[in-house]
Formats: sequence, structure tokens, C-alpha cells
Amino acid sequence: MKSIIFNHYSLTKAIWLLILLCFISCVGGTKSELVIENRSPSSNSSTLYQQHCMSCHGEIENSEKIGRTFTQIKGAIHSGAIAAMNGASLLALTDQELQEVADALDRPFPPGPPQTLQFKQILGGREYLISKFKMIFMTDGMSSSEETTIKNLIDDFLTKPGYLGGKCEHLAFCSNLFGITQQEDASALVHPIPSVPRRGVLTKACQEILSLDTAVTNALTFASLTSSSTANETNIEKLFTVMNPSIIINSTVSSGLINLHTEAKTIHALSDIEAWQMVIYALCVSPTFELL
Amino acid sequence: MKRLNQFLLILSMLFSLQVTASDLNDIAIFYRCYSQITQKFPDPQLSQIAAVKAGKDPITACLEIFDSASFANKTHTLKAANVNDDNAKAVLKTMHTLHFSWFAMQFYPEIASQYLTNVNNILDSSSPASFLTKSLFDNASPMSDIVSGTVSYRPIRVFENVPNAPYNGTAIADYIFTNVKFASVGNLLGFEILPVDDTLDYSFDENQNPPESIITGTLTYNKHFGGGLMGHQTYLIQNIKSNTFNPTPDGGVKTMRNWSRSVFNDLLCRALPAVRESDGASFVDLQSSITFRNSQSCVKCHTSMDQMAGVVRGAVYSAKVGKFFNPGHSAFIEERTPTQPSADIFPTAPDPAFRNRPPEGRLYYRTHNGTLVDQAVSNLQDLGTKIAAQDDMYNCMAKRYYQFFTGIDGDIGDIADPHHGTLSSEELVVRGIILNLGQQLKTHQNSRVLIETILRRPEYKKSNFNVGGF
Ligand code: HEC
Repeated sequence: MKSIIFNHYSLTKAIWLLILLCFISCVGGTKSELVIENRSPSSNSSTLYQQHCMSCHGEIENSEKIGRTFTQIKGAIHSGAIAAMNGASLLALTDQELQEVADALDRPFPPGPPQTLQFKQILGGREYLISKFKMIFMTDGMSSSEETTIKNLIDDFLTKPGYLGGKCEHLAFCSNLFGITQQEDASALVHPIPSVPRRGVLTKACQEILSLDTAVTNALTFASLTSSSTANETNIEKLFTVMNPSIIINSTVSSGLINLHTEAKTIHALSDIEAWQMVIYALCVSPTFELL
Repeated sequence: MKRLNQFLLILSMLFSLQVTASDLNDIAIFYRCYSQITQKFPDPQLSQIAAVKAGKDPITACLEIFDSASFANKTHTLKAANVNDDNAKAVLKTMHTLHFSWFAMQFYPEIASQYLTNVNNILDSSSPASFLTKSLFDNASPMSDIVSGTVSYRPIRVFENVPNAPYNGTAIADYIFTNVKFASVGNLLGFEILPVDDTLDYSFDENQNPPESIITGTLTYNKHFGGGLMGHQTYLIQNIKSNTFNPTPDGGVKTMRNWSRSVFNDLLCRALPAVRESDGASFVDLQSSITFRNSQSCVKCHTSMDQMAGVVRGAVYSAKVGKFFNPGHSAFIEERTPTQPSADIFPTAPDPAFRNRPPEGRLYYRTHNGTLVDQAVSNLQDLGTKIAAQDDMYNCMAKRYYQFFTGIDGDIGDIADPHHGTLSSEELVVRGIILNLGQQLKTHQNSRVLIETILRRPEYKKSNFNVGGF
């Protein structure tokens, strides 16, 4: 099979864009609607602060020295312990002026910006992805040359050391004393952080593996389909469910995949297996494929 | 071009599937749970899948697999996994790797430009996480055990894919230790208990070329300071991170504050400052020669770190042994015997006798509900007891397991601190859920029960874990 869809430069670029967009928007959450009122300090004392303190301790609203008393400020200036505060201009400040600065600083700490719920998609680690690619795209016990190629591709992209980690199991560090030089990224096993290189590796793996007919037929067989199966709602759902068993498909996605298959055949005159190749490729490169 | 549009359209639809809320069916829930705990894509032939299809509760089915890694009824009490049970091994590995990921320090550090690479071959760098994993899979082990006692765990691993197994209990040529059982490399099977105060013999020629005299000797490599994982040799070496082999803490300028900062992070999920601005005030001393004591903003971090660090003040490195090149150097942590009387644990001037005083310290931080904890502790074991008596360690564990299973990171800090950001209403709900789980954990002391409670929560059955809907 020709890898027609994979060489389309603008396609690849657009996929990247979508993937990146997803990783921005998928870290979802809600914004708090609370509005926080800030008590603003009186103008004269804040001028004194601006003139004498701001350069070192930041703007009055977020000053490091909020809550400091007259005694603390006077102590800081006159004790001699803080060399930076020994300047003539500070030493010249009167008690009255220091009291005003203290008044300006006497207010509650400004609350930080409202938070959003921190949420990270739970993605499968390296081991999960290896077992998933093997389960879907390989057949147990078959030893055709294409099967071997698929296995090698999975090994090359996912098993070998690289963005998704390596083989060494001496958590976090592998001494080269015993001839083990590969290092495993412990975090790659559990709760990996979605990253651009990781997406790149997986997209490439999907491309290379799916340019082999056997991989396409294996995936179809795994879903109890064949290349001549019609792309109807039932069959699309079968395929989707075996590839993403913990995610429930909806009718929009289902009809989108049906259209993809139909247009591949009607408008672009692709063969049955090539049309399914498109559908499986879409499922394979979607970050949904990595979700647990 | 037409095809291209269709293709992109479908991709964007697929993306939207993961963010919209829908209820998962039982099979999907089982797949989700199974994949999380094993980090494997399930074989459709798995018997539990058929059982769930026939009506079995999916979480019960998933927990069956989880419990296959349990230490119960195993001949060797600390061995979890049957070598032939792939699921059990996968569960054990997943949870241990998860626990390990919670630790701020995962490597042996560089000290005075010498990497302690050789320590790795004796003490698995994930050993401190063993306390959590052991507590999870051994029903008889309460959560508080992780900060209690002087047992020294070490992972048992078995080689499957990794070349050149070192783990055969004997030294290999060119190795400087002559009587040590190496740390194993490979898939995790369980844990063993390393004898505390064990010694090892060494023999090496420092410069090799030209040959010089061979240096030989014996050293203690496994002192335990008490307090469970906090006093484990690996935890001490990884976190004390002294920049010299002969640390001389004076309680002021120099102290083992890297270690205590890690304790706040690793066990309490707290970054410093863990107190409020005003809590530092009484420790500010403008006359002090220790610069951070001059400033409230600095002192507020040091009050928590430095006061706790007093309990490991007696730590000192053993003789540094090893060749200049491979296999690198080793140094272990030993304990000075106190020779001086107690004194101020947070002196305003460096105290040269500090390191020779009893290992006293103070637990000083604000809890999740804003209470100031200010308790004297007499040693590391006592610190562990006092940490385990508060809620925050349990909240921290609840927060982390909850995050692992749902992806949601809740805030369990002192939100009443005026410096703390304001939580959204949804965040407050999540915080409430986690604090409640933490409270339960403190009562039942069982992290396996905690995990079951999380898995049975309503949000676990939602495609998007209910984010946006709390
Ligand atoms: C030239 C820089 C500089 C200026 C100007 C300055 N400070 Fe400071 N101040 C410092 C430094 C440096 C410290 C010591 C480190 C720290 O606490 O931030 C300090 C410490 C302090 C402290 C004691 C530590 C604490 O946090 O309580 C107070 C109070 C203080 N400054 C208040 C003020 C006030 C009020 C002004 C204006 C009247 C001012 N400073 C102007 C540099 C400056």
C-alpha cells in the first residue's frame, strides 16, 4: 500500500497544530467567579513608599514587606545589620514618615489570582503503549515478514531508549558498571507529561506501522471486521471500542469516521483497505489513543 | 483538499471526546482501572472482562487484579509477586514507580565533585518508596509505618530484558566491595529487609595507573536513624546533599536543610514556606550575623526547614571509598554520638558544637486548616511519630493517589493564609473530597482501602472525571 496520506506535508502540519491546541485546551478547568477587592493604600504614604522602598521591595500592592511595623522598619534601617538599607536617604526619614510607610504597609496581603482546577489527562506510559500497539497491530504467533517488520517498528519507536524511555529497570539510574548504560525515565512509566517529542514519536510510529497492509488487517481482525466490511455505525463503533476501550464514542465522531471512509473511497478512489487505513490512522494519531 | 478537511474534522471531534462529560459503562470502567493499575493494554481474553460483561462490578473485578500483588499469604512475607503472574508484577511495578515519583530526590548526589555512583549498586535508589509500596500491599502495615521504625527495605528485582545481571550475590572482577549483596536490577518482585548496621569490606587501588598500594577496610553502610523512610540510608544520602564529606552543621549558616525541605515535600506535599508571614516574625533578629535571620521573608522558610533539620545533625559520611573512575565513589551516612549538652536548636549565631549535641529539632508548620504546629522533637523517630499524629501526611497521600487515578490535583495547603491564592468553588469541592479521604486514611491507616474508595467515587465513572462539573 502506498502511504498516500502520510506524505501530505500540510496534513502533517495541521495535525500538529491540532495536537498542540488539544494539549492546551485539554488541560481544562473552570475559572473562579469570585471578585476580590483590594484595599488601596492612601496616596501620601504610598508616595513615600514609592520614593524610598519600591526600588528594592517591589510595588506597594505586592510589596515583600507588607505587614511590617514601624519598629521593624526603623530597626531594619538603623540597626546597621542590613547594609543595603544604610543609605543616607533612608536614614534621613523621620519617625513620622516611617510611621506613614508602616501605615501604608499595614493591610492584608493581596490574595493571589484565583486558581483553576489543576487537571492533567491520564495518559498511558511507555509500557502501556507498547502493549497496545502490539495487541492491535500484531497477531500472536504469526510470523510473516510484515509481522516481523511491525514488531521491529514497535521496538524501534517505543521499546528502545528514547523519548519514551529505555529498557533499564534500575529505576532512575543505571550504573554503567555492569554494562547497563540506558537510563529509564521513571516518570515515563506512570503519568507521563504530554510532550511534543512524545507526540512526534507516536505519530511517526502510527504512520510507519499503518503503511503495512498487515497492520491494517490485524486491527480490523481485532475488531472482528475485514477490509470489505462496510463503514457503518456498528462497525465503526466496534473498531473504536477495541482501540479505545475506556472511552465512549458519540454519534458525531461515529459519523465523522464514516464520512472519512466514504470520501476516501468515492472522491479519492481509494481501495477498501486504504479507506480503513485512513480511519485507523485517525484513531491512532489522536491523543485519545494514549488515554487510560 | 476535501479529504484533508474531513480528516482534520474527525481529529478535532476525537479530541472533544475526552473533554466532554459522559458516563462510562461497566466495561469501560474496568478497562480504565485495569490500564491504570497495570500500565498495560488489556488482553480481551482476560477472564475479568468476561465476568464484567456477565454483570460483575467492574471495580471489584479490577481490585481482584490489584490484590494479586498483595503480600498476604505469600511464603516470603515481603515478596509480592509470583514470578509467573504478569498482572501482579505489573501492578506492583506501577504502584512502586508511582510512589517513587513522589520523591523530590531520586538520584545519589554529587558531593565535593565526586558522584556517588557506586552507592546505586548497593542501595536501590527507590528504596525509600519501598515503605509506601510495602504499606500498600501489606494489609498488616499501617500507613504510619512509613515514618516509623528502623527497618531498612530494599527492592528485589528480577532480570528479564536487561543484559549483564549483577545480582548473583557475589562480587565481580574489578569491583571494590568484596562481601556485598548487590542491589538487583530488573522487574520488581517485592522487597527484602537489609540488615541495619551491616558492614562491607572494600579493597581498591585508588589511581590504578601507575599501581599504588591497595587500600582495604570495612565500613558500615546501613545505619538507620529511625523514623521509617526519613531515616533510611538512601533517603539520607540522597537528601542531605552536603557539599563536603565532612559536614559541620552549626544550626545557623550550615545545617541539613535540604533533607528537611524534602521531608516537607515528600511526606506533607508542602513547598516552603509552610508557615505564614507572621510566624517568622519572632525569629527575625536584625543583629544576627546569619543573613537570613535579618529578614522575615527569608526566615519564614528557614523556621520550618532548619528547626526540623536538627534531628539529622549527627549525620556524617563514612570514609569515601572508590576509584577515581569506574565504578565511582561511595560514601554512606553514619551517626555521631552526641558529646555536648542540648542547646538552642535554632541559634541566632552559628553554634560550633551544634553537630555534637543531641539530635533535637522542632516540627514547625501550618496545617491544612491553618493551625500552627510547633512541637519539640527529640530525634528522628519522634519526628515521625509527631508527623503521623497530624492530618497532613494522610491528606498528602490522599491527594497523590487521587491525582494518580483521576488526574485532578487538589490543593491541601493552608488556604486561610492571606498569601495563598483564592480557590475557585470547584477547587474547594475537590479539596473537601481529598481532605475527607485523608481523614479516613488517618483513621483506617490503609492505603489499599483509600484506593478502593477513590475508585468507587462517582467522578471515577465519568469520562472526564467530572472536571468542570464539581
Ligand atoms: C537599597 C535597597 C533597599 C531599600 C531602598 C529598602 N530596603 Fe528594606 N531591605 C533591603 C534588604 C537587602 C533587606 C534584607 C533582605 C530582606 O529582608 O529582603 C531589607 C530588609 C528590610 C526589612 C527587615 C526584614 C523584614 O522582612 O522584616 C524591612 C522591615 C524593610 N527592609 C523595610 C523597608 C522599607 C519600609 C523601606 C523603605 C522605607 C526599605 N526597606 C527600603 C533593601 C532595601
